[in-house]
Amino acid sequence: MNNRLKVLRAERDWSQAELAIHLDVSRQAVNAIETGKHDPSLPLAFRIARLFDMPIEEIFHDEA
Amino acid sequence: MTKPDRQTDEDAFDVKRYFRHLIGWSVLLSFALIGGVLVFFAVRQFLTSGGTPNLLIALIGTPLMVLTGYYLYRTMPDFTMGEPNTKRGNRSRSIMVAVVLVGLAIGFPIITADSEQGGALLWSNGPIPATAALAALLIWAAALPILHFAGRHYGDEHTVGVHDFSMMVAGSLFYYLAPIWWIGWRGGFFPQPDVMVLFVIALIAATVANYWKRFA
Repeated sequence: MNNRLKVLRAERDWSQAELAIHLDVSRQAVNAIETGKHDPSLPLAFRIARLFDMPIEEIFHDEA
Repeated sequence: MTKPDRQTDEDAFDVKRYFRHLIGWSVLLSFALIGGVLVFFAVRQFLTSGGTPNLLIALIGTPLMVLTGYYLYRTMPDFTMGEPNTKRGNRSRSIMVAVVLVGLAIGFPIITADSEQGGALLWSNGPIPATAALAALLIWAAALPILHFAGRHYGDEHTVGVHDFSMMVAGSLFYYLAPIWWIGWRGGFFPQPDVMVLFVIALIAATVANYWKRFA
């Protein structure tokens, strides 16, 4: 699954560690999501959407 | 902090460099501990019998312990591994420390029995005194479920996912190998199955799978 997390983070001038603090996850988790190695659960995806004040489908895109 | 500064800050965390540093630091720690053991034995022997050979050991052990210890203190790695200092993260790292302490606590009764018997009990597969075995297995039996529960509770979903993956790899390997070895033994092809050999194989597989999932 592709996502715009890295772009959204850069727009806010946040490091991976800062985004990790906002989401209450590890920096490794943020890195894994950004690089597409880990697809977040629905609860975490909703937390990300709320943090950036965007609908989930504007952040995450199905590869198909 | 400006944007390029943040980028540099983020890029500065290099996993391979971190682990090289950590391994080097651990090797030096071993030297410092060896120095500490030498000093301990030298002082004990000096107090009981005295003499120059004991002082010679102390002269080697003391600088080894003090100088290496000071260098280790000055170059102590950042055990956060680039992670932010959050409550959850700190609790998760505390569990790793607890795992190491439990390992030492399990080894301690066996090492104590070892020093009394003058054998190599810790790394052998032979019988050990019942009291040492009982102490070690009670610590393991009590601590492992708590550590397992706490690890899952304080780990984030990525950490738990990596752990689940590594356990799946280790479990699958065990399910695959154990019947082969057992049936092979009954058929006369292999020696009698050894549960600890299978445990170590599963442990190595879990560790490799964990690191592969995290860093590959």
